[in-house]
Amino acid sequence: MPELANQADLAHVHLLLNHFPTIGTILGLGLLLLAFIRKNDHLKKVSLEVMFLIALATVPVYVSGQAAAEALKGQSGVSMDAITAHNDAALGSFIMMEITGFFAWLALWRIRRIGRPTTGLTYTVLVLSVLTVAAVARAANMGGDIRHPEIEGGQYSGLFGQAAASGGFISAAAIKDFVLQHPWVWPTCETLHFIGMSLMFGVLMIVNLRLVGWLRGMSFASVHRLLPFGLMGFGINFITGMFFFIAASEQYTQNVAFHYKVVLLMLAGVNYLVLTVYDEAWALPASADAPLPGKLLGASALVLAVGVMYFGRMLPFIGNAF
Amino acid sequence: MPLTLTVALIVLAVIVIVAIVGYWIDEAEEPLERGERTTDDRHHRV
Repeated sequence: MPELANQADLAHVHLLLNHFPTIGTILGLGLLLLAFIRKNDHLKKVSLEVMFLIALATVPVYVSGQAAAEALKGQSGVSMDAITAHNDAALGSFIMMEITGFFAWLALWRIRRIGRPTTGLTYTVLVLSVLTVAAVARAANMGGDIRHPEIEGGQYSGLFGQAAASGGFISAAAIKDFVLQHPWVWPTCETLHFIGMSLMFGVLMIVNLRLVGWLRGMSFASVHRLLPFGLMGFGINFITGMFFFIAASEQYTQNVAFHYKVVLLMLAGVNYLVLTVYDEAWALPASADAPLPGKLLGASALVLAVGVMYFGRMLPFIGNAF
Repeated sequence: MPLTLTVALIVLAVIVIVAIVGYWIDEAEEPLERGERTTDDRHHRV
């Protein structure tokens, strides 16, 4: 199996990607505020899409951050306290980002179904976006303190807290201890991971087989309403998967199967967004055939989902996990 | 408490939570188009 990246490459990936959550959430929040000022529903939709995509892009940022930490371990001039503080702040902001992304997606799903943004969900995303911007800015600032001697002692260093300060409301080390010291946590997460996968894949099968050309007895709108269950399945897998990753990150960061899984997961996420907001499919009545782009969208979604599951299953066999 | 029972209870609790949230999301859905549709008959429309 050809390798996608080694640890140094992943550290480089982290340096390249780590600006996306900060700049992306500010951009998404700015677009949402502008949409409110202009009373422009289309702009609201765009800002929600940006928020969802940034939430998606934050996954490889956090994952590659673990690889970067492992690459820096033991090097002179690098404070492990600063890395730990940054890691904890990043985990907190990562959780905030994913919650925001979930509500942004839910708002988009509702827009697709009722034709306009709903006030409650849009304001929820607005409030969450403000909190997320603050959280990611703090995490990014602490990340900058790890190895940038040129800015140490600067007048802005106290703005979001020093790197050596407490990481925040959540601790990766405490989660790791919780998972490894309680014998019921790992098997519970494994069981839930399979249930979440079944839920997500079941929904993906129904929705995408309809697009491909099967299950024509149903309109696309009738299967579209299942999508939140699919995302909840993904949510279960995301939470349980993060427990695995935090508890034994070295098994994943150095595992080629995991690298492929994350890449396919990103593509599957983009596919899911398109599936949610896709106009042509929405207009598809029962017994009608989807246009070619719709068929390709449905087929690619199934291929990507199978790919994610395949590489997840192959973690111990292609890679070196467990 | 035996490990199997602990795992089973937590898994069951999560399944119940997902069902409740899913039901809530689905119930909160409004009519697809403006018009005469009511809460009661919207499930037959899609």
